[in-house]
Amino acid sequence: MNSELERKNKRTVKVLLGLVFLMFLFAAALIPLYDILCEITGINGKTKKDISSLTYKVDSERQVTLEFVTTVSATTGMLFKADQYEIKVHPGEKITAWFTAKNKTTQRITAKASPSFTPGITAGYVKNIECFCFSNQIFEPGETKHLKVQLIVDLALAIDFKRITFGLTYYDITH
Amino acid sequence: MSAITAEHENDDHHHDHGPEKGFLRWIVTTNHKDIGTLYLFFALAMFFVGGTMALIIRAELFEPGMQFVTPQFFNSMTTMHALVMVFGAVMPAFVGFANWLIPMMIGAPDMALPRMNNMSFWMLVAGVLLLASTLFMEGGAPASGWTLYPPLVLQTGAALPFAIFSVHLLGISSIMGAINIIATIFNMRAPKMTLMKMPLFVWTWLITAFLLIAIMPVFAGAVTMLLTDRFFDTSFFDAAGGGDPVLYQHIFWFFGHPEVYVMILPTFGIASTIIPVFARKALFGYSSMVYATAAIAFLSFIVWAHHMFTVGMPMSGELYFMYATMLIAIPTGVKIFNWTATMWRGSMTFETPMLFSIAFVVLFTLGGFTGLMMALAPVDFQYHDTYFIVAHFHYTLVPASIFILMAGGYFWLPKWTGNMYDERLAKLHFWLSAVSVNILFFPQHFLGLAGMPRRIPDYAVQFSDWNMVSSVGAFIFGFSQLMFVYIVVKTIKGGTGEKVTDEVWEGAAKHSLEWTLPSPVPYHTFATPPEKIPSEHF
Amino acid sequence: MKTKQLFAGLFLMALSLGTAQADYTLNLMEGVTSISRDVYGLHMLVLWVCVFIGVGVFGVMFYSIYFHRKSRGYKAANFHESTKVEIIWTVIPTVILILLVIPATRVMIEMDDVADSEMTIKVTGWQWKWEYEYLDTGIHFFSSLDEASNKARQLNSGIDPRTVANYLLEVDKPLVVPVNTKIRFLFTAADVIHSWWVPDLGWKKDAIPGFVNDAWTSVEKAGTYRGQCTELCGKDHGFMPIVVIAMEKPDYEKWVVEQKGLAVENASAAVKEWTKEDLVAKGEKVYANNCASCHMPDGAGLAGTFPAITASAVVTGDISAQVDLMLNGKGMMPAFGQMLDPVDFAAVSTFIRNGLGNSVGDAIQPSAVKALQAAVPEVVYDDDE
Repeated sequence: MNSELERKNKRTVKVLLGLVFLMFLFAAALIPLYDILCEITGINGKTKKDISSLTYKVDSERQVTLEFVTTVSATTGMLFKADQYEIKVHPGEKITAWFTAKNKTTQRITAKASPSFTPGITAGYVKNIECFCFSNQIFEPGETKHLKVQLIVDLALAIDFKRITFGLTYYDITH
Repeated sequence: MSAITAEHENDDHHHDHGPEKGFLRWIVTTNHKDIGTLYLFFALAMFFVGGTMALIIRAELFEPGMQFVTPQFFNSMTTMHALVMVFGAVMPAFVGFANWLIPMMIGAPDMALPRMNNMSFWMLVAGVLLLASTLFMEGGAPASGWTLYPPLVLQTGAALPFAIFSVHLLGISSIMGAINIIATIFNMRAPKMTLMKMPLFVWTWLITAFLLIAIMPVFAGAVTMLLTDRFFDTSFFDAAGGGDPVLYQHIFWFFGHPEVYVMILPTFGIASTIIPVFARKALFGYSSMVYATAAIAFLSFIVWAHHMFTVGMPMSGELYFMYATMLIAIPTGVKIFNWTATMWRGSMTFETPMLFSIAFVVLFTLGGFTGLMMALAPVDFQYHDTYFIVAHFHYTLVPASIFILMAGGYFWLPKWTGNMYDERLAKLHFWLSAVSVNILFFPQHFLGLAGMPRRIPDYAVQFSDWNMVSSVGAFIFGFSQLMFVYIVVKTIKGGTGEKVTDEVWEGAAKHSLEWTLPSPVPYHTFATPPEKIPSEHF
Repeated sequence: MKTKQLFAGLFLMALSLGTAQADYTLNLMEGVTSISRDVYGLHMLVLWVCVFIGVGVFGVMFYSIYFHRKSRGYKAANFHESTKVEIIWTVIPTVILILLVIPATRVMIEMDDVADSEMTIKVTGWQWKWEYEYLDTGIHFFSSLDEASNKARQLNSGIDPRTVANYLLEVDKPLVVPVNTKIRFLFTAADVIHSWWVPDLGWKKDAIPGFVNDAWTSVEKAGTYRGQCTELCGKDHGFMPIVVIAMEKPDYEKWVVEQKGLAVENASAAVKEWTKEDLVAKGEKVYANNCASCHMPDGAGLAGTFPAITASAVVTGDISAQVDLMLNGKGMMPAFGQMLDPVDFAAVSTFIRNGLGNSVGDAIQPSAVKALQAAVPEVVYDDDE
């Protein structure tokens, strides 16, 4: 093989390896990109802590029903219920919802709840001011905790949405 | 004939000798033809391994009730069947053809990076063997489907890290192969072989190689995250730690959709090479074929979530992926129309390669139709994860990719060996395959529409009849393929005894460079680039 | 020619072997909701479009294959390009696609509209059963494969599935819904991803752990509709069917009252004292439905994955440790405290200690289990506003 060709081959390989590397970075970047995409499009109704602009005008003409749905993962020895099935709210109004969770086991459990809004697109229109799902909880054996969530439904929520479901699933993440 | 390599004036040191003597030849070889042969035989062997798994599946599904295997083993079989067929059989077979043909088609003496070529083959073997070894591990082989969706895949037993490492090896092997092919096509073409004069097989592989480079790192990344989720406490995909199992599906199908095109684009290439030869006419719309291939490759990156219509995307997402997916029908349609127009007013003969190619065009079109049906998101809510999709993708893989691989085998085998295969037996092989493949897969459309989910080891009794028909077809199809092995071995050993001409097929030399070489092809070819380029394809 | 005859023979043979219950269908079902009929209409539309294109393309191809062959002395023409033709066969498919997209978009929008539902049912996928919660009335139960199917589907069970009514499509406790009522479903999962599909309703939806999906239906005709899980969810993925019984509204109201009565009855059954024999007898059934798929019907387990019950140290040891493990789960073992009522729980706990080759001899009362399962105490609000 002449040296001219060898040089060309080397360059091609370098460029292509660079491309491979870029695609690998792209795969890693997909994780944060996905979160951003979720925020924009409401895939899966992901939610995060949002304490910005708490001064909302209350729209007392309109009413939206917030519904609370609880699930406990298969291998988590806990009871977990919302204290209220649903709350009727006016957009802009700050509401507090309570949940009760109990460790039924004889072990100490570290648990975390995974939150999501349904329909997913509404996640962007419910300000999640406070939620126990943003941190882990430690439950002593048999311990019961009362847990708090504070939400504000955004005035900008499209008029079609009359019911928003807030789902929480508890997971035992003790190691 | 401008380039017979009796002398090696300008040759590199790799090529100074003929093949090594004995068994070692096959281990250390850097010759593109040897490596092509290795790839093809390995792929054929894996075709039978994956096929055996398919027959275990079809045997269990022959009748309702569990007769032969446990549900867990059944799931391992569906998973391993797919992984072995995709990564062990179909992809390596096309790499085998690429190795054999690309240098000869563009007038190059070898692949650009011969040592890397050898390495990528042996890495493939290591990867597949590692994957196969998981069958004997505690807890069994992966049983979560070839898509390896979490959280289910994280329930795999001891096999998980080994399966993931084998995917890494297969990925590295594919990437090395792809780099080699691109470097060969970009840097090693004969001076007069401009890009738009390249045979379509070379074009489709060039595009496929870029697809591989783009997607394999993404897949490797995704499975690596599975590994860290299981062993290092991360939670990329685990809802417990704030991760999202649907994210894995997005990443997987960002890889997975182009991946299925990796298996079909070279298929298009070989079909576009064979059909003109037996129609004795130039390929219709050469440049539109190139553009359509590029368009399909591009679209493959923006339609992935049509595999996930039921995961609960927002409506805007569903609509976007529906529209984008339907667009694929346009360039694919162009290809089918071009093949038909190539046959139109040709002077056709129907040797086995042509028979397989025509069957490919017809049956791939059927697979394309069901693809269009499933692109409609609201209807896909019914089709999704039923036997309808199983029928769809098997139509685009078995009577498409596999048939074209057979067609390519019969087409070039006389060139490679200098011996003619037994046409009568080969035609019997074709007819057995073409009929049984339809007995095997056509009833699966009915099963899916009637409500039979995929990946189930046992089913309600109203699905009995068509499952039985399908299983009968599967066994006929499976055993018919043994004929192919017999015919190939017989051809290598001397075939019909009739010596083939250099051109082998009437007028083939007008279409592509490899037919200007002597039959059988010498160990080293095109040490000096050819001066005349065939002109039939532009 | 011989081969073709052989095939025809085999084909017919396969068909004639079919069962008496051969009420198979070839096409998609029209279903019993407006959505399912829309979907069926779309399916038929796109099917006919495909048939139409297929007849055209294959017609040309086979004409050419028949007439343009060398053996008929046909000389090849010499053309290989035509911009005009290429444009035509790009534009026509585009137009067809646009015509298909319009009705598809309309149906999509309709499917997406869960607003103004009259009731909500939460569906949770488990390995390998479904949990249904009527959020408005509090009715709550698990639904798993019925006993007859479960026995017949064991490897080499010796039972002919054709003799089992609704083999693999029957559950112990079906989902009951009223007709002509807009019902909203919420889907989630407790372990891995599942997918809930009843073909007659016209859609399927994934149940994803940690997330909630929604969908809606309004069944127009009373009847029993069957479906299955359609997302691979582990070894018994094929054995978690769905049965929906749609009732006229008065019948449905009666069913709701009945269910509430049943809950009271269960509560009193949990209080009364049971004999060991009664518990063992009941526990055997509970075991078959809930435990046998992993620990095997004979209690031998599966080496490497699922431990044996027979001669197990946990089962033959302290009863409270065993009950604690069953209530709260461990590793792949789900927390059955969520799934079984006190009676079933006590029964199966007692059964495995006195059956499957074990003979510890003791028993646990439903009332004791109930105490262990203790519901969450009433909530005291400490509003900090």
